[in-house]
Amino acid sequence: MKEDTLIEVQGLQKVYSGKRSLFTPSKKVTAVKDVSFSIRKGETFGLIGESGSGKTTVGRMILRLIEPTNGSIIYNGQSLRDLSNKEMTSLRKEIQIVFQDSGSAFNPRKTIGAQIAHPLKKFGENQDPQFIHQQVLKMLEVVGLRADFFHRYPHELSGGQRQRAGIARALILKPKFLVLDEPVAALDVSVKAQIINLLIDLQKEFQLTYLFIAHNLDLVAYFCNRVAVLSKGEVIETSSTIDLFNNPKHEMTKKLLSSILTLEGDLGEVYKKRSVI
Amino acid sequence: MTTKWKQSCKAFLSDKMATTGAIVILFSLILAVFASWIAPYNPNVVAEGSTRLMPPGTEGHILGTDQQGRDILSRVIFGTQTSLISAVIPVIIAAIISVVLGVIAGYYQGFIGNLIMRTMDIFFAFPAVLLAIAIAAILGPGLLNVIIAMVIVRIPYMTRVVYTDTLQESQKEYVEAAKAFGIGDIEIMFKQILPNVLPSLIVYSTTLAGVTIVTVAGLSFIGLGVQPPTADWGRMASDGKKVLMQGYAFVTFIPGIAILILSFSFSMIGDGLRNALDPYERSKAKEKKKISRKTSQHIA
Amino acid sequence: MNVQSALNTESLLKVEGLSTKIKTPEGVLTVLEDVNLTIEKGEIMAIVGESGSGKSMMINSILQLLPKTLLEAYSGNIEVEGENLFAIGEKKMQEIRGKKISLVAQNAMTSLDPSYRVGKQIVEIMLEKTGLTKEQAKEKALNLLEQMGIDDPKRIFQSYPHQLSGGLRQRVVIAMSLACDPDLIIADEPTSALDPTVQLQVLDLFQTINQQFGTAILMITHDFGVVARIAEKVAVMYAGQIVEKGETADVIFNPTHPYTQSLIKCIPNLDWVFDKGAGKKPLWQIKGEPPNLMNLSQGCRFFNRCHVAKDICQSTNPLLKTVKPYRNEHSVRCVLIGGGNE
Repeated sequence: MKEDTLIEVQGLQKVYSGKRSLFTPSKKVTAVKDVSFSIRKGETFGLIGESGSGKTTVGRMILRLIEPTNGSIIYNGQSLRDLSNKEMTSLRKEIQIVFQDSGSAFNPRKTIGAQIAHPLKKFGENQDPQFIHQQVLKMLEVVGLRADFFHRYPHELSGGQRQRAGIARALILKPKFLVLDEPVAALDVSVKAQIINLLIDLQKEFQLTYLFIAHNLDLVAYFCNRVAVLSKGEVIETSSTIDLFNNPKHEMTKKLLSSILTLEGDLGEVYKKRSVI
Repeated sequence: MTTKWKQSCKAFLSDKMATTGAIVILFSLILAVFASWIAPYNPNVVAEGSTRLMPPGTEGHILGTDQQGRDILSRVIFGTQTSLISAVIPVIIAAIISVVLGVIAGYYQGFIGNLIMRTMDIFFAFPAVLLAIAIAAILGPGLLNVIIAMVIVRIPYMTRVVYTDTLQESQKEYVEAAKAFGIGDIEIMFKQILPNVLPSLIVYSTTLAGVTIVTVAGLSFIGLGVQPPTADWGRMASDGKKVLMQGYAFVTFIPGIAILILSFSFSMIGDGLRNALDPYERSKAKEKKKISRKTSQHIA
Repeated sequence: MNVQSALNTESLLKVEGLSTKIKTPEGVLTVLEDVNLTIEKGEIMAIVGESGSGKSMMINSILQLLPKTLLEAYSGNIEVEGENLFAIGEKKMQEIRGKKISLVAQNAMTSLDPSYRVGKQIVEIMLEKTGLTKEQAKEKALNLLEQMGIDDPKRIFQSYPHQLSGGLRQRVVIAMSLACDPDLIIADEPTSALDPTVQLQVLDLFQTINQQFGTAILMITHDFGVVARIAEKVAVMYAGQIVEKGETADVIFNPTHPYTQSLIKCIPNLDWVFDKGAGKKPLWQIKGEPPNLMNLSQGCRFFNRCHVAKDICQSTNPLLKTVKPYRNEHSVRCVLIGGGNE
């Protein structure tokens, strides 16, 4: 493991046992077959693949929201899978997740403020209510939300505002590593750009490392330093963003690249032209 | 929360049927509590000077007297006690047990979930009324045993409701977010998921209370419920059937109508609550779904 | 196509000064205001807008699908081949839906019934809306499925919706929308739920349909990439109004409204990846959020988020002005363009 590696995933695998019935043997479903990659401190690592490629499962396994069937996850020299539940709980402060906003990332019956404060109340060192309140307000400001959002309910927020609140919640315990699970896929174009810019600013401010999970490539190209392409539960290609775009090796990668829609219209053509040069 | 609560209250009160239902229940609650003061006669004793089967409208006995000469109005008033108790108490007890079973089964699924839900399935194999009769017959007659029977009968239905909702809620990302912070299962189940499951359970319970009144009356009718001389609507209807065909139908009909009104009122409240507890968001989503469904029907 | 439209003086769909008001718990809301657009036969037009811009209300207005409990009032005109939709009855309207205009929804599952085989569902529509016999309908359905680029139409015909992938399902829905040979297909973000590679295939399919059957297409989308790929004309919507419309090339390469300009700039530029000298430019963003239609103030609706706004924008309601008169004129709703408000 190199000095500057923050997280290293080796041979990760997830097999679901599937439905069993009296007459048919249980069918095993392999969601993730064999995934390995390592992420350096401070970088943004992209994980792309089509639906069903297993990218979301990989993100969840790193957080141990889903238990892997096989493989290892080394975070900062510690093997996450060997940690006891208690040790894992204390490590959870450092590893957090931002969800694809579908309106369900927040509990509809609790205020935004209460939900951002919740982790602080459970695991924060300073339990003074005044301090917790201040921390939440500060975090709301960091993500660009006014203080009066504290008392609002999730359904009173727009998609972009909810996503900002989601980022605030993920950052409240000062994590080092964030899994971004398609954080902008459900947002409008103009809001998408806002959130990406916010994430870039936060990365600088808090020295964050990102795992960015996405299904399309245009934002990945802009946002990520390195990219792994996932297909049918396997990593088929890992390289720097520039190399991947200029020099795609795998057929699937080429197909994904040629499916980016650009303003020039026939994008496939544009891409072909470029890769020839 | 207060504005939301106010909104729900407003929505409920704007529903005329539901408000009427609520007023009826409130009224019958007052009757039940103050029965001894309100009722003109002792319900279980033949009043002095009254004869058997006096028709409704008789002076001193507005609703007439039954075949023993007891005042029907007084018996109906006292009957609200057993009706309300046997409707509300079993539903509340069943709801509490179902919440625990349903939330655990829906959240953990797997072995525990299967164990709970398959056990419930066994009860589903019998029609509710039949099951209630069987249990009441085994336990023997009496109010307490009726309540126990109704609790057992209602648990599978309510557990199913809690289970399905919990299953849906557990897959939402706010639950994963809580897990990602290392928040414990108990807290997630009962502090995060439960508040989202509760509204539909409350609605369902209210409707069930209405059904339970009828079932309990049915048990009394066939002699498995409350024992004489306690005034009970089902029992009263049952007693009246002996003279039903002899021109004294009112003896059966009056308690029957009381059962109908009370049970109907509970259903009305249930309907009103369903609309009122639906947050604006959800009703909007429903409207959207309606539009898209309508679209596809027309176009497809 | 041009010859045809020259012979036929009536446009396929003509929306004139359409305003739609709906009822909400908070009061009456004007979700569409002064919308004008025409679609000629065989044309592909796109409507671009963010959520809340009124693009779905546009579909509901054109197809008259707003439930009575929600609708407050329409004003203006919607004409299909010269027939005013507000004047004809619900019965005639039902004939227009499906036979003249059909809809492809964003989520295929809203149009498909999970409990019937997809073939049966397509045949059913044909039997209901056209005079075909069962055998004819079945043959036509199989034909359609084949034309949708489905390799094994017989197997798909016999499948249930849940057995199909997202892309296949969307193809089935498109086939369904073609069942009664409509003149216009309204496609409501038909590809935004699909994987990028599948999205491309489906877009190409729409283009093929347009060329083969001469079906006009009204594509609702939020993605200028989709517009560039298939549309001839485009209208950009913001907060219930059309703020810019014109030929796709005009709008994309010469965006005039500040909102259109911003939307286009929000698309990440990939030049730096291919050309190492180009350098990574910061991603353009539009500040703020779309306005709440409930409490609109006077003046331009984009005022708060605009990067070139001046004082006049806050006081004057901009009108749609022509900046380039042609067959497909390019017009813009901005006070700062073309000098003053006429």
